[in-house]
Amino acid sequence: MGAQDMDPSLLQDFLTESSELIEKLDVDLVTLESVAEGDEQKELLNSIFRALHTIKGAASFLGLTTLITFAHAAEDALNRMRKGEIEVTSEVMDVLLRSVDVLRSMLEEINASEEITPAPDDLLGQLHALVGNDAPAKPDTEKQTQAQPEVKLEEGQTKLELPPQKVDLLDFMVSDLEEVVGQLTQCIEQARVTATRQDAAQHLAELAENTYKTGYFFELDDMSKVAKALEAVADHLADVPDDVLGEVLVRVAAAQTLIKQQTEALCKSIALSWPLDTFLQRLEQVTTGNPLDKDVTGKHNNDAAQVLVLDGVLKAPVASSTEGSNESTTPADQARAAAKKGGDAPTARGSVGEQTIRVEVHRLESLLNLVGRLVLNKNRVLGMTRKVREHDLPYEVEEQFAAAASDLDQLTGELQLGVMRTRMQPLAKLFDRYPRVIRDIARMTDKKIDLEIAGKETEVDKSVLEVLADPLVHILRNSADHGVETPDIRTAAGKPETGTIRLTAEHQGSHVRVEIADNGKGLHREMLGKKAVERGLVTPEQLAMLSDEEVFRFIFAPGFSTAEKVSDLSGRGVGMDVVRTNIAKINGAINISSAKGKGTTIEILIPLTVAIMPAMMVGVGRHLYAIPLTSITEIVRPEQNMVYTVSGQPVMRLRDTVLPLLNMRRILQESGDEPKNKFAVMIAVGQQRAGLVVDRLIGQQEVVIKPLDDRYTQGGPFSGATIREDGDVSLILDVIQLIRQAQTPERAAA
Amino acid sequence: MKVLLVDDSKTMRNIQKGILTQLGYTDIEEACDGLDALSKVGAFQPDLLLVDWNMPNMDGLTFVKQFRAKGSKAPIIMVTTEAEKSRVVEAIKAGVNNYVVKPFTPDSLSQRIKETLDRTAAA
Repeated sequence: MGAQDMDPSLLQDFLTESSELIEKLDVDLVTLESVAEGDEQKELLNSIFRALHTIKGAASFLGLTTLITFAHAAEDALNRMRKGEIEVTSEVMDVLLRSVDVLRSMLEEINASEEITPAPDDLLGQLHALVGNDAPAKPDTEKQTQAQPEVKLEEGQTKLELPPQKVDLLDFMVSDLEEVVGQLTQCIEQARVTATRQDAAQHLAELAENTYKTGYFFELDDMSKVAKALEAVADHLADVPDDVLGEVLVRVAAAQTLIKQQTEALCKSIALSWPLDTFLQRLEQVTTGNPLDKDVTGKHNNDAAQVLVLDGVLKAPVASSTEGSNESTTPADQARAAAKKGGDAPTARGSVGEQTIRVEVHRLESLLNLVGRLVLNKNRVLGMTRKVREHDLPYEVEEQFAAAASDLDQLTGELQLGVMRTRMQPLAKLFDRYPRVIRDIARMTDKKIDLEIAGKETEVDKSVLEVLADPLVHILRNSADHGVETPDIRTAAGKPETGTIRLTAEHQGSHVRVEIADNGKGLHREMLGKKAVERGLVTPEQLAMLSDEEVFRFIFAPGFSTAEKVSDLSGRGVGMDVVRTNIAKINGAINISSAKGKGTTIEILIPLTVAIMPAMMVGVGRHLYAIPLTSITEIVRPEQNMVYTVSGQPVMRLRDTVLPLLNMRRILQESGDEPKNKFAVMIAVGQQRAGLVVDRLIGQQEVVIKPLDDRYTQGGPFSGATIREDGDVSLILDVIQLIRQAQTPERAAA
Repeated sequence: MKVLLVDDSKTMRNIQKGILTQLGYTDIEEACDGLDALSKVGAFQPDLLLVDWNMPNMDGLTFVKQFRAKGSKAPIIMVTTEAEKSRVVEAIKAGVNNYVVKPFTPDSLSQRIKETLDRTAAA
């Protein structure tokens, strides 16, 4: 069945599913390298194997031969790792990770409806070398057509007419049945001793059930009957009176003989049938504790073969006996049986699968847009409630209208929250890619780097996630490539040989804080400054005035690279520029701190939501502005005696802290009547706090953020605009920008 | 004829579903792993089960064992790969009635289903 016969949506499903599996493969492989041998490693290997296997399985239905061939080679290698035949080493992992990359690009080619490029020969060679053969494993299609040697059938023998897929299994079945025969001998011995009889019964029940199912599967009806009878024996074994026990056990041995005969016949694809009625009837009689006639019991001398002859199952003489079966139970057989038992434990545990449906992103986008418009309309309706009250309407009408409006308000709120939540995704989606990035850099630069990740479950809006992807990679690459030193330099500096990069994420009010901290060599103020002067970014005089952080910020300037040599990994000077512009795009902020020799910490603050948020509307001069409610910690009326001026910056004493105050009239260049009593809206982003001095408080409102062109927001204290309930436009104040102004007052004044 | 498809891959389930639909089986329920399947067999009461081997949470073999331990007799066809074939014996002992190797064609699956149902009816 080729891809063309398939529903096109199947191919899409396959691509989506496989891409997800490949992401997981990447993560698991990198984790695999760092875990010690043991259960965790085993579980990871199983999970990796399963992912690869699923991709291969689905691909085979879609006729994606190139992909299958390659996935198969990789799977073989992994299978050997799973069996412990190959050790997990960096070299092996390089090969496997590269394989995942090749698989990924193959999937991309399928997605783009391109011809699949076969895997590079050297990689295939490496994979085959791992598996220990030079030629690709050839599919064993000939097996089914293998002609069974012609055999002459005797009485009681029929040629087994099995479908080919069952014939395929005969070999396995024969060895399995041989084990059963061997174990039956043990079972009989155990049953002779009262102390172990209970165990024997249990063991026998298992063996009988297995044999029954095997017989059923291979359509060996008489062997199934024998097995069924053994099941009944197992059920009663513990209660069988001692005087008939011998009679029962000799018949169990007889049953064993029959199974053994069938096993031998099975090799030649022959099914045996026996006249079993007497045997089964007598077996049932003794099993239920009823002694047989003396003339039956006395004659067999406890010989299973004799029993079978006496019961009319076999014609005398029979070649094999129970004693003979003992020999077939070699220690190797037993070891194999034991190994099989051990391998029986469920291998698949893993994490609980998500119950999800996939929705195209643009459907969510349009849903969000609609909700945005709905919120604006809800605001209008809420505005009308106030107007209605002012008009002289009957009380009931007014009440009903107010009730309906308030329901609408609540429902819209829930709907909005619901839609927003469909867009939230855990940062793990990004963070999980990074161990691989760091690992590759470490391998290439001969460094030892640990990446510690915390808070990857933190959820952010999908658009935030997308914008964040590139910047984080750039920062991490920089930290690994330029920050962390080589082991010898680190040792010389008295630091541990292995460098650490810590990637943490957490919610902080209305923002998500992502921090990348390394314990590498840190940023070099003098070197950065020199470079900045060379590039004409600052004059030497200005440079002297700048704080450390301001100098560090030059790394975000376009084309600014401090790396002595440009490497494949980083150092082309485009990266950090992207970081700045991308973060700015979503109204985020970046802070850098660094200590020479100790390391560098880069902090990124990004707003949690991007579309709709609750805000406090405030009046400054003649206009209304919106302040994101989640940034507001409290609102106070500053008394004259609470306000001071410290080095030109107005500050306010609030309980036991002193906070900078920003005169919003001046910052927003508003004029108009100045009220006597003003309000200070206290805002906080992370640890930083400031007070915004505004003229009036209007009230709380849901605002739908309409992005402003970069020209208006750049540097200005606005993050967007919104339409108010009365239809007018208000600007949304950018809390991060304002707080930064409060921290660097000399610029705010400029 | 109610068929339960147990496979962790949605793609695989869709493929099998497509083939089953072509064969005229339309009453199909899906489960994404052994646990999910166990939770569904009670209400759905399948007449036939197609069970993948390698699945997270609970693999096919464990599922078959537990399903049979409940006394359910419904025929089970195990879906395996060439590599897993050597382990099918375990599945047989756990009580599967037939197996089919991936990738299968509509013909081969139809054949397996027929074989299996014929044999169950005869027993």
